Amino acid sequence: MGKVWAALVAFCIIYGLLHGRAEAMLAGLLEVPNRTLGTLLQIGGLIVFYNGLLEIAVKSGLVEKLAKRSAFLIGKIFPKLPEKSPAREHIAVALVANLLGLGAAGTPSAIKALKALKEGSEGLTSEMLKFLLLNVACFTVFPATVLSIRKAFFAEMNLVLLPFFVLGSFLLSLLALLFSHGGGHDR
Amino acid sequence: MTADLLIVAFALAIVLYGLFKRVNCFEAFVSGVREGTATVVNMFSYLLAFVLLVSLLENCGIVRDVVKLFGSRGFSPLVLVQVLFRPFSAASSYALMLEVYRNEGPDSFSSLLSTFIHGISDASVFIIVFYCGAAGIKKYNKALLYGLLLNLIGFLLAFLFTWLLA
Repeated sequence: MGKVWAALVAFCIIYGLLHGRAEAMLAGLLEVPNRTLGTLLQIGGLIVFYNGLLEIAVKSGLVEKLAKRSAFLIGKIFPKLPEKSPAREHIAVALVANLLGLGAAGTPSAIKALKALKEGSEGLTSEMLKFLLLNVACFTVFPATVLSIRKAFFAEMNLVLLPFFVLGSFLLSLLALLFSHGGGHDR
Repeated sequence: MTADLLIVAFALAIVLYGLFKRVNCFEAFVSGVREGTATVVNMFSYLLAFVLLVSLLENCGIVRDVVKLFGSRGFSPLVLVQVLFRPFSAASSYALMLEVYRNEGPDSFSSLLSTFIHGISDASVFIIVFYCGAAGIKKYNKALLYGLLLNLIGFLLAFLFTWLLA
C-alpha cells in the first residue's frame, strides 16, 4: 500500500511538472490541511454522535441482546471464532451499523473487533480477512445517507433504487465470503 | 423524510431503552463520545495522506486529460473520476456524486450510475489500511487485492443496475 501511495504521488508530481502545473499543485497542497480538517469534522461529528448513542445501547444491554440474537449467524459466518470471544459483540455492532447505512458509526467497533480477532496470531488470518471484506461489501438494507441526499435534490427515483442496493451489496458480501474462504493464512 | 424519521426514531429507541433499563444515559453517551473522539483524532494522519493524493491527482491535470479522452461517451466524465477515487475515500466519492447530481439532475443515467458506484461497495483501500493500521496489523496486501476486486465487481453491478433502470 505504501508503495502504491508513493508511486501515485510521484507520478502526479512528474505529470504535473511536465504539463507546467507546478503552481496549481502547490496551491492545492497548501489547501490540504484545511480540506482534511473539513472532511474530518464532517465525518467526525457523525462518528462521535453515533458512538455516544451506541455506548448507551451497549450499557443498557441492547447490543448484547442483538448480538445474542444474531449469534447463530455470526457463528455461521465465523466458525473459527471461540464461543466466548469479545470479538463477537464488536462484529455484531459493526455489521449492524453497516446494515443501517451508518458505516462510519461502526468504525470504533470494527477496529475493536479486528484487535480481538488478532489476539494470539501473527499476520492476517482468514477470519480477519473475512471481516475486512465484509466491511468493504457493506451489506445494506437501508442506505440512509444516500436516500436523504437524493431527497434534497428532489429526485423522483428513490425507493425504486432500494432493492438494487440490497441485491448489490448482498452479492458482494457473498463474494467477500467466497474470497476469504481459504485466503489468509491460519495458525 | 422517511430516512430522516427512521434515523431519529433509531436514536429515540436507544435512549428510551436506556431509560427503561435505568442506565445513566448521559454518562454512557459522554464516554462513547470520548472513545469516538480518539478514533477521529487517530484518523487525521491517514486522511491527510489521502487528501494529499486526491489534491495532486486533481491539480496535476491528469483528471482533465482523462476527461478530454472520454468526454463524449454518454455519461459524465466525473463518474470516471469517481471510479478512480472510490476505493480510497468515501468522502470524495460522495462529493463527486453531488457534483454529478448538480450537473445532470438526480434521475439522469450518470447520476444513477454515480449513486450505485457510491452505495454498493465501500472504500476498500481506506477501510483496510485504516482499520489494519489502528489494530496494529502490518501485512494486509492480500486483503487489498480482494478489496479492490470487490470494488471492481461493485462498479460492474452499478453499471448493470443503471442500464436496467434507465
